[in-house]
Amino acid sequence: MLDIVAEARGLTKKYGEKTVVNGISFQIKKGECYGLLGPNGAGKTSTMKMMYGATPISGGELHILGLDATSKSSEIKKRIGVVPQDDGLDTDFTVLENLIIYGSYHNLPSEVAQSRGRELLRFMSIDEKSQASVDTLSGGMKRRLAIARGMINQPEMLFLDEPTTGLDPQARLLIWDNLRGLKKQGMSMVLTTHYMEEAYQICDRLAIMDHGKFLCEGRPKDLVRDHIGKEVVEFSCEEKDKKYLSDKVREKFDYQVIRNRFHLFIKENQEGKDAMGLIPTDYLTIRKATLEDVFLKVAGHDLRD
Amino acid sequence: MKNFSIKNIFKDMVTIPKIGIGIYRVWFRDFFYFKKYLLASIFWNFTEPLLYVVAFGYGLGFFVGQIEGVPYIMFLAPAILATTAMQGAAFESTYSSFTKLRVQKTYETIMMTPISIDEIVIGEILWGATKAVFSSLAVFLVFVVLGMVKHPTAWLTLPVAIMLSLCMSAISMVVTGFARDYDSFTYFFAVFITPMSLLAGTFFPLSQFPSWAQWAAQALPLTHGVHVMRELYLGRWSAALLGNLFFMGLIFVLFTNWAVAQIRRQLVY
Repeated sequence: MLDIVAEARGLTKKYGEKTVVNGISFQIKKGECYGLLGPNGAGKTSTMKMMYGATPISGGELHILGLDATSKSSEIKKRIGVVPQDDGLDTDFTVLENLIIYGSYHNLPSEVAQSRGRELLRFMSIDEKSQASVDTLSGGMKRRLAIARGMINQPEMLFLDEPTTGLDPQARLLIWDNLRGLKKQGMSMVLTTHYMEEAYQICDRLAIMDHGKFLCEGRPKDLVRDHIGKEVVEFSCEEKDKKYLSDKVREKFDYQVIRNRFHLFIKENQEGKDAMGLIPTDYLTIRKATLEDVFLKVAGHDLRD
Repeated sequence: MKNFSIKNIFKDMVTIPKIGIGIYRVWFRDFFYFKKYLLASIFWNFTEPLLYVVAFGYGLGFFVGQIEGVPYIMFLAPAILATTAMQGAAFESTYSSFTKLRVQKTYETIMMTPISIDEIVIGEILWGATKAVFSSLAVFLVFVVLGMVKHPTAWLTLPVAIMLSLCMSAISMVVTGFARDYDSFTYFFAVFITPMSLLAGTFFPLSQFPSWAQWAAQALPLTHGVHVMRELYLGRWSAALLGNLFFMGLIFVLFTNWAVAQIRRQLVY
């Protein structure tokens, strides 16, 4: 049991009458990077908040680092790091002061917080900003500071709620590097994200959530292979041809139609070019199957706000 | 407002909060910030009370002459100390605390650490009182320089200012717990703080009031603060003053508990 850092059984969260997390169960192993994916309002952030003790659980069981999340919340908070969605930096202070003050909340003496803080700023490559006011930082730098802050108490586990949302691609790449660096050090991590590519690359395992439930869970590669296959053949069609084409591909291939576009799933034992013969169009694309295909398949493709 | 009843408020008021070192951490965060802008903060602490001394003490005092056997300025001075403490606490624990609660989300950040909400709220109340006492102290030093401190017991007004500040800080924190936006505080100041600074025996003795109003004034914390501070400032002392201190202490405890419960409802759901 020692190598399980988080375990939920029938975990539920209700706000009033509204159930946002509906009886999910999962285990997260030590050193693992675990991803929670899902559309907006799927229940990812609520799940995270229950795990890092920002909101009480409404039902089920939740253990973090072997401790009961309800009764041992402050014990847990000593041993975890949190990077919330909105950074939550203290705008009254400079970058380094933020780390010192946050360290003091963790009972760290100022000198310890300062030396650890400088080291973390270097690790997150924002050490040249240590005397800057938080307000002057870019979005990416703020996020990196928030991650450094989450590490100040040398946590055994790190929670990151949408660590790359709202950042430009360069800043996102930097954060990915930082997270990979942390993973290499053996840090157990839980993160939520909208970015499939990010989840595919960083997460050892992930769960796709919607309406407060897990739709599927596993290694990203396995999920892609099991739900989609190795490749996807895409082509567009006219509304009137949809039924005809469906009938034609149904026998040989799994598929989904997103608006007026067919997506055929090519399994391990199939070949993409076999599909080409079936389809009377020159405008088709063969590409590798991705986590995005899995996501669209299991979570559906309606627009969410 | 769901579950808003006298019974629930009473329950909130008598629920003992869990406290620990976190209170000091939260207090220290605010002190750390205060230290950064010490000069700017101190300057404003001197200006307003000095204006009062000039306008009411010297200006108006010239026409008033003596009140209750002392020059008007000596009657007024302890009230300025008390009012400064009250207003300092009321400002810090409404506008500043609300900013940390809703705008900067400072409390939510602290909640990610082992510090409990009880400790956050109490640390904030203590800080509001601390800042208010700094202001009172600044005013007191002005009085010393102006030669207006004539009795050794006058120095005891400072600990009383602490009590009054704590009391007002706790009340203001409850208001913060209910506030929807900054405008809510405009009402709090217009309906409670400003009338209190005028009617709590500050500028004229309560004996000017009809007796029912004198009784009503006893419900105001500032009345008790002004009374004790004036007695000590003028070198008078009686055991009855302990009753006034007890009243302020009781308000502090009850409203602190209430503030803890109310702010928890804002932060945890």
